[in-house]
Amino acid sequence: MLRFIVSRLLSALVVLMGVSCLVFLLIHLVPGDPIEVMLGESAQPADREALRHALGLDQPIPIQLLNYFNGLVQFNLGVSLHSQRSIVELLTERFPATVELTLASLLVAIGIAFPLGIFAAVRKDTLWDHLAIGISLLGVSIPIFWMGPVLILILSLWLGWFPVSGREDPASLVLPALTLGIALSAILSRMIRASILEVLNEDYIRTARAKGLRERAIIWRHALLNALLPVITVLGLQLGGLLGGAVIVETVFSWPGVGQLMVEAIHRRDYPVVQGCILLISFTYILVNTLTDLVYAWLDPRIRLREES
Amino acid sequence: MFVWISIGILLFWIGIALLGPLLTLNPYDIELSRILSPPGTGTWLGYDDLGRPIWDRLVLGARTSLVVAVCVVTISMWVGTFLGTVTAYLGRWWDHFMVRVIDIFLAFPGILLAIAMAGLMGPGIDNVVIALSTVGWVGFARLSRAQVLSLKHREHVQAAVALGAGRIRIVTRHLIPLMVAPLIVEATFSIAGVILAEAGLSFLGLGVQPPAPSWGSMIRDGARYMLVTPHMVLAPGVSVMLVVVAVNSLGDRLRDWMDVRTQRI
Repeated sequence: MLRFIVSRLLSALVVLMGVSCLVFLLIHLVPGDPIEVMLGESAQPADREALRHALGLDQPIPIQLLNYFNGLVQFNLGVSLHSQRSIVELLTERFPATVELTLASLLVAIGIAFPLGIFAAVRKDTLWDHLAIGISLLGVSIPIFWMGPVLILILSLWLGWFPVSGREDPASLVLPALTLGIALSAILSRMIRASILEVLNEDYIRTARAKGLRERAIIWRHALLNALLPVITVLGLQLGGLLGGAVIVETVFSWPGVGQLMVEAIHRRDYPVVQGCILLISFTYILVNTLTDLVYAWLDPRIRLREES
Repeated sequence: MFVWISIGILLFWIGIALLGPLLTLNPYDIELSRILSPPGTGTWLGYDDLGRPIWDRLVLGARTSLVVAVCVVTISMWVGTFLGTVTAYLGRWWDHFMVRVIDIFLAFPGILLAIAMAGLMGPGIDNVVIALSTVGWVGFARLSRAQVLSLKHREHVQAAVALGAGRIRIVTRHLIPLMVAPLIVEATFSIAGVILAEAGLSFLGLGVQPPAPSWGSMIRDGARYMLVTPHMVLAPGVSVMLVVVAVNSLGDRLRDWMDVRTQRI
């Protein structure tokens, strides 16, 4: 197990470094001179040079990369060009809102997907199964930036149940979490259905049937536990979809999280903040995935034995 | 039955996107007297907040989404398949290196990297294509790598090696033809993903710039007038949804038909 943990952590470290390099290079994607884009054409040459120096863009690229990594390990991402505040401070202020939204969406997704997926698998090829597949197909295909406004229209403007936007009271979490959660539940319920159907074909299920166990006992005690284990890994991977989707959902609902901060920063051409936001979101994703892998290996010895051999 | 409806929706989408320039459309004409008028008054989908006909803008938006989808999927498929196939066939550190690169790209959640790239490069359809292709090639590279690894030890490949066939010949004649079916399925789902992503970028104001219409930016504009004129947000939203449902269900069908087992079940 220790060897597995070390190898998994090492590969996560390599990915973290690669992601950091890519994010560093992003600023060089800005067409022409990034300083000119940030300050506008009418800026004074002295101001430009000052900003160029402040961002370290007057140094050769290897030195810039070194400085960047140096700042990264000291949790120093520089300051926002717009508000002059420390980027780490801005991110710590916004991060809890994003975590809250992501966790709530995950709960919504699990709450919808598990019953739907299990039900569809148990009643395979019946009308219920087709209905469940249809619902999940629709869920994958509805754009979240459209579902958001539609939910606002129905549940808050017409019925007046929830606030339209913001994060003042707990009720304002419901709509953004529903929007993001429904999208994920569609993918998740398909995975759960497929996973259960696969397990139902296993030999030990046939043995259980041969022993004369009741169908309910077979499904609940033998099939479900084994079928839901792989779903844990999928959940970890799908968190990426949630975090990426959060950028859009936060914009729709004016939810004050990291995603909204990033979109605001893009429109303000505050590129250091954009870099900070991507770093934080991707780092979170990598860490959660590494953790999921470790938990999965702990729960299912087959995985770590296979990797070690 | 459902398949035929899907094919019908797709043909209609491609049809209006291609024939758009032949129709007499006035997507940029502003009629002040018709601002926010509901469907049925003058044009069958009504007018938007600037008094422009929504149907005409929808047709032009279909063109945007089709162009972006075709460009992105073509570029991603070629680049991804090439890199994935070649590195997996060469093996050793080529393959190790590729696995790392793929891991790094997959570490960016969802369309986050595309949003950041499109935001930094500035708005415009060409930048949208670049941003989405940068994210899109990874899926094809991963798929083709997995395919090559499972195919390269098959008997027919070993026979070809024993007969003295060159590497290029083995890859193009003996590996690629067997990879076509899963690649087509991946491409179909990828089209659906790109349509959603393009609309998402335009929704955030990072795609095609106004006054040129895109389904995503039409949804954003419509959301502001939702209570007064729901049709402004419903029309483009339903369009995106119908096309994506059609592409996805066709993808499902293709996968069952070609009997490809991929991760997405």
